[in-house]
Amino acid sequence: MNVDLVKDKIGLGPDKVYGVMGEFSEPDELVAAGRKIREMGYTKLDAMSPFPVHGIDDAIGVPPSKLGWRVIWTSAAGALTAQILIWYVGAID
Amino acid sequence: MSAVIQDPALIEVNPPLVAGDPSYHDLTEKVSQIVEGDVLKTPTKYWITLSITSIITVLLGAMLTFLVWNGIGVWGNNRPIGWAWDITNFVFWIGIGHAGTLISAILFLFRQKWRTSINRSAEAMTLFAVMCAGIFPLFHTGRPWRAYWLFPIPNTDLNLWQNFRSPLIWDVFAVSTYFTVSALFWFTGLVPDLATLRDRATSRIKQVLFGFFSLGWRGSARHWNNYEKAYLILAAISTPLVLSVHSIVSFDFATSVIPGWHTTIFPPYFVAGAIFSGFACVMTLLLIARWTLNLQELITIKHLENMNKIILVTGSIVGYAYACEFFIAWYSGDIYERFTFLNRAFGPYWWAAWSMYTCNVFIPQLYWFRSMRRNLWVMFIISITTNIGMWFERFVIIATSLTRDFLPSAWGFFHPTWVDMCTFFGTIGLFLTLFLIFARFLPMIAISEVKGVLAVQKQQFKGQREIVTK
Repeated sequence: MNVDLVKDKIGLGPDKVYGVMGEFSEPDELVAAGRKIREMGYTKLDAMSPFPVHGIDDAIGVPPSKLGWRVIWTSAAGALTAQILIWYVGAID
Repeated sequence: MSAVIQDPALIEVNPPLVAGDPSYHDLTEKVSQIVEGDVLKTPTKYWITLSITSIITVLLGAMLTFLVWNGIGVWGNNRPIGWAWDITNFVFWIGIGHAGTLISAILFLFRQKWRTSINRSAEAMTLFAVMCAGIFPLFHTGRPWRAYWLFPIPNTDLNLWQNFRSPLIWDVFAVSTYFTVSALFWFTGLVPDLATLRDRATSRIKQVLFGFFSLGWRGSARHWNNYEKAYLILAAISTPLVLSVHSIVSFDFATSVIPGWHTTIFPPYFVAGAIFSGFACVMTLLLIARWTLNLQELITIKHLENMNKIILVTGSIVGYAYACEFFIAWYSGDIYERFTFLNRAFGPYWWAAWSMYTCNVFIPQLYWFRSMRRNLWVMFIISITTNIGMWFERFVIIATSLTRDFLPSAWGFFHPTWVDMCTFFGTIGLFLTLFLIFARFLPMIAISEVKGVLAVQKQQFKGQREIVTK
């Protein structure tokens, strides 16, 4: 059986487009392109860059990082544990 | 990429942070080639320097072994001077670390773009300085294998908890937190650059090592989103550390009743001194690195001049603190306090006190002149005299107060032993060895951060050129 035929059947055929890549030389071009593609209705977007590009999150729809909340809760838990330990060591044991 | 024409008048007023208008790729090449070069082809001057510093590090190992074998009596500490070179060296090294944290955290929060080409090496210097600092209290315990008693770990051999009311235990936590946060900050900043090196790696071992430590970094917008948040949080955590670590170190002294130590000015005075000595140390290392590794385009005169301005400000704050101490000693009417300060300036350690005033207060005043701030030889010499002065500051504070306390019958004089001297010399060797290894095998300049600055700079020049042509 022809390999291409199998690929066609399972949706991996040579004619199928999985994604499109573009290369840009300056950050503002990348942001402009990202915004335009998103306005065209595409949602599965990503942008690779060697340094953080300002405005790219908004342009391609990356949600804000959840890291801040995680850090607040874990550090609050750490501080509370430390205070309980100091209190236990000083007042109980 | 076309070269951007820069207006000479504007360059004079506000010189670019990345000189020569390189492309992004040039920048990667420039920094990576130091790391990627064949190890065997490293210049001979590097190996000679590294072997000298390694021998000094071996000396440190020998001294510490000798100390553990014989007990801390091999140091010159004795009544009434229970703290001497060991604590002087501890405070000296911890202080040096503060410049790295200030550059990476506070200057980041204030959006000072000039920090980008110096922050990586300054952060590395912080880590190495804290390692050197930690050696002294650890070995001053006399039984370093019992060092876990410093931490609140339930133990059956001591059956005691730590005294959380003691500033010494605060110090344990301040310094260990400081090291952890500094290490995390440094590593977080390294991840994108390690990924760059991974992508460029030619040998399997480099691919595996850089691949492991770059944590799967691909430079995706989602990665940068989390990265920038993490960096901001680490900067926010580190900012209070710049102030708190040396404040707590100063509490070791300030909460005691010894004249010359028992003052409320100590925390700000210690912090200013720490930043002062740290910037001087960054300056020494950067000038050497800039010269030997040809980094003039990335570490420009503007970077160095800005650092010299900080050295001038913090040195003057330290000078103000010295004057303030003398004034308060007189104004308080406390006879012990008055005696301590007269003794400090004119007593048996007058030479140490005047070395410190000269190196820390008088010499940095040269930086009021622009020509001095931009002269490489002047800044190299001042960076060294500053650290000599700051070492003397800690020695003067510790030794002069302890030699002459309340009872004249208890007075004494401190003589360092050869073990004291060789141990301190050994930590300088350890510090330089670690720094040399770092400078050769890891990217010394934060590639991704400098690229960010370069992108902004390219935009600005585009704007400036448009204004000029109009």
